[in-house]
Amino acid sequence: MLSPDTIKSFQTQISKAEANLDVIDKKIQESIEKAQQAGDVDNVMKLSALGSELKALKNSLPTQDIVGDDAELERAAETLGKINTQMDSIMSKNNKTAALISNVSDLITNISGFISPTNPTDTEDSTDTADTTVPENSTQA
Amino acid sequence: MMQYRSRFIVALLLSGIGACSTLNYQQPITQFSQGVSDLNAAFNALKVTRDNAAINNLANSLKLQGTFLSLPTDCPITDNPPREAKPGDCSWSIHYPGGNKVAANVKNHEAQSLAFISALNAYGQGLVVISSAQDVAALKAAVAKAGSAISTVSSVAMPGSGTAVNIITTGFAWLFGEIADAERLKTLAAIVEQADPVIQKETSLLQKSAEHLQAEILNDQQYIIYSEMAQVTLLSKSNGSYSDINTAAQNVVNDAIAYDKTASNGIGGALVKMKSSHADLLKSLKKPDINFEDAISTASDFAAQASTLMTIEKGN
Repeated sequence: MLSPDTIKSFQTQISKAEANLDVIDKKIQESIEKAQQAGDVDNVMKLSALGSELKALKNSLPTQDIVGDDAELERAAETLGKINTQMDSIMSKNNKTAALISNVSDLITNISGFISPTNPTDTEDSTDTADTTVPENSTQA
Repeated sequence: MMQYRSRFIVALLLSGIGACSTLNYQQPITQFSQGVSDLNAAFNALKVTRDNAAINNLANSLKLQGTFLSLPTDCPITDNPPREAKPGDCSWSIHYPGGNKVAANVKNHEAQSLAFISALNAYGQGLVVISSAQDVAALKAAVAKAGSAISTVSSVAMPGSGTAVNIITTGFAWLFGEIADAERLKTLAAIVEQADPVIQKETSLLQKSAEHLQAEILNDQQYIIYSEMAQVTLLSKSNGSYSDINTAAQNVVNDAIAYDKTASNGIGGALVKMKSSHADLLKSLKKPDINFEDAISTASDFAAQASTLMTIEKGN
């Protein structure tokens, strides 16, 4: 029997993740528009692909069908908490295009690892390096 | 447009012929029911559009990254024409280079809203049968159907509320042809009165759900257009053939048109009209000695707008 506190904690993280993903989606679209204006087709393609994939993964986040025991759910909430921290980091910075692409790629790896734990990518390890933001002045849009 | 104007004129003419005739109250009820039926179909079509846009968008993005999407052969949204996907029956896998695989799915946030609009549809159909029942047995069956539908609407909108709708059917011992119309009107008024607060209050659930679906479709369509525009630029820069560039540009135009259609979707407006139509129907049923002019007018207006929704969804 799952405790209400554990369920609540998990659902809070899921809601936060969904809201964060919406903000990141807007950031990606803004970057696509900038890249379009700059004629940077390569980055438009990359960002479109990442944006689409992120959206699909958002649709695959668990919602009400919670299964498992308390310990399992606590681990899931903790992992999701780390992913949310990673997203906070992406949202708080004014990423250049290349940095955004790099950070969103890492984020996708972690979210897909969270959704499908059998994926060889180890979610727990990869979320430990949550702040994967490339320095802002390292690349140009 | 002419068609709807004609319907409206016919409605006005009918309202002036025998203010208390059977036809008079059948007309707004039939139009209300038709409008809800169109809304129900439009809502379901919108969900299928969303599911398809999500899959197309994902498949498109994965192709760009050298990965691919696999769908089960029994996936309902790949059927032609597509049918509604239930949660879990159409999961797909994203295959990454190196053999990694992520299971994804079509999310069904709309289950509650779809159940709600489906129950409203059954309720509308029940009202039509009540208004035209030819014998006591048919009337009782129709009352039971409408009452049950409204109980469902209520419980879907407010889970756990235990709201039960009880329509008194003990007065049906009367003979048809004597006081049938008066009793029928009383019965209709009782049912519509019980349904109205639920419809007035809980239609916002449908409005939110329609807005959410619309936003999701626009988002997917936007990403598809971004990558298609980039394809056009790439082909132009790499001296692609005229035919290839033309096809790519046509894809952008087609999807931009689809985007506009989604953006101008009028489900929200139709839902507002549905509420007014039901409120006017109740008002008229409670005072049938006056007339059904307002009820006919708003029901006609609602039915016309709901009918337009289906035209938009079908892309005609």
